[in-house]
Amino acid sequence: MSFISDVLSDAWSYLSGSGSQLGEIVVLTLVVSLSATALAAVVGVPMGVRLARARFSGRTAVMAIVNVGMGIPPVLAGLFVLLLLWGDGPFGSLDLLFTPVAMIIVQTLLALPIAVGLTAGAVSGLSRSAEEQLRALDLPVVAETRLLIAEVRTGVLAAVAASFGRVVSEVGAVIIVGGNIAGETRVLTTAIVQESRQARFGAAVALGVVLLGISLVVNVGLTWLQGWGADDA
Amino acid sequence: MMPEELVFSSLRYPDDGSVLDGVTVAVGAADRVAVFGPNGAGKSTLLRMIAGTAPGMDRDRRVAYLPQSPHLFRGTGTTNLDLGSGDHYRALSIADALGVGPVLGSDISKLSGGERQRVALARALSGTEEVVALDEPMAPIDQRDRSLVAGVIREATSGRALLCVTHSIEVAAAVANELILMDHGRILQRGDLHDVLALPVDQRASELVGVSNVVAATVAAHTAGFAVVDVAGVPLVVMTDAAIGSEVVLRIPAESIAVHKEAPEGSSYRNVVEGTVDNMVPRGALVEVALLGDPGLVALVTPGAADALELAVGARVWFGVKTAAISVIVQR
Repeated sequence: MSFISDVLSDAWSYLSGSGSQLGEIVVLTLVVSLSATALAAVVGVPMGVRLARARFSGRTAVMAIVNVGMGIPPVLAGLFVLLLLWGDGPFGSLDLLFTPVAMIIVQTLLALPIAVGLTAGAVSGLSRSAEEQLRALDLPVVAETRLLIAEVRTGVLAAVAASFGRVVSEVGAVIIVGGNIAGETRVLTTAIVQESRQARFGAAVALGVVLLGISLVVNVGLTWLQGWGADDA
Repeated sequence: MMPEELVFSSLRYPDDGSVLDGVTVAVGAADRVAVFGPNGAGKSTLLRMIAGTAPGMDRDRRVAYLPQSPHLFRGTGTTNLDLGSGDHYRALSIADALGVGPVLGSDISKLSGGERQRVALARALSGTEEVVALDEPMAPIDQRDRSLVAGVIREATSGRALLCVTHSIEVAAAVANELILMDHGRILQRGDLHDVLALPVDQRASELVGVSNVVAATVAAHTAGFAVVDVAGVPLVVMTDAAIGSEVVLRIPAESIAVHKEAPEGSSYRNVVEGTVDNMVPRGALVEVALLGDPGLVALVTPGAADALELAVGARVWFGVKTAAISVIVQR
């Protein structure tokens, strides 16, 4: 048992003493994950609404792409963005590789199908009378989209929460395009990988606890928003 | 401006899989048409076809449409009113007239079924579409409020065409002057409301509308909660609080009229109409007895009763009508 207690005691001293290094990692984690979630939500939620409402040829194909995207392995997304941003790649001249921007790009790509797919699912679950009423009202696209986002707010918040859950826990993609550079692109997940590989288990556990805490706070916040939305349903 | 008439036809959608059997409806600029029929007759499908909300159809923007189960979206009564095609203030004034003005600021979850229906109705009536198509607008409305709501519907659709699905003759008479009678996805009969009720085109139509007297009357006086109305010179006691002088339409089911061969005495009838038998025709197992002249009431009796009463064309008879059997529809 002394191994476990040593690890926990190391974890405690890491948390109480590591200061600015841990702070930097937490801030970058929050900036990258929240930016990616926000971008995915702003783009993906309206896309999801339209995908659920629109009737066009190729809609089934788009739905299939979204569904595959929801489960795509992060390392593949990381590889894809790496190739795009590589020096000789199509966007190499932007010099974004191994920067937080590259990490936000790849995480947005990972979160987008989730935001789209879960929102579309929520809108598809509308009652028949709501569907009929929408056809009766025949609102302009933007107005109808806004109305539906409010109408299925609970489902939209679930989509946002799932998107955040995907990106905050993700390590494969950010390590490929970010490089886990200390003080520049190191986030909680990549730091945990780093510390584990160097057998600094106390630090790894401490970072894990912080990651869990962030996840908890964000999800409690979103659940609270859901409840607040459901109150006046 | 609306053209002479708009024509809607299910023949444009031959494979829509709906219950409609090649139905075509022409709607004139100020037509006020009630669509009447049993459940499953295709009334709602007809309205969806006209509004263009059935799957695979394009929404017809000339048609305002209130679905059978209108939906209010999250928010308040006012935010829902503003989803309509109409002007905000016109929608507010219609909602006011329907009696839901005071609750418009409330969240829709706080509204009763009747209040939700009125908000949805105000939303559908607030625009300027040439045709207003309402599917069972009165279903969730309390009986006692129906004449008020009918008045608002007439007012808000004045100068426009109105199509109103209902399975109540009273509602039909309150908002419309024409009747489309539907059964099994077909139109059995279309015509003036009173004509269709008085002269159903065939046996099935007759079963659907029932045999009843639909007559116009004027409120002449009020006595202790009842009103005396004048029907072609004959006074009848009915239950209404309509103002003196107002025009009403009465519906008296033929089977509720008792026939006597002498003036009844000591009966519970408040209304006894004396007349001469003009006509006797079989109606299924019963016999329809019609009085000569105005108001020309008809009664349904069994053949046995007809024999016992020695009923024949030209015979002198007295029709007894209970006040409670007369439904009153406030008109215009």
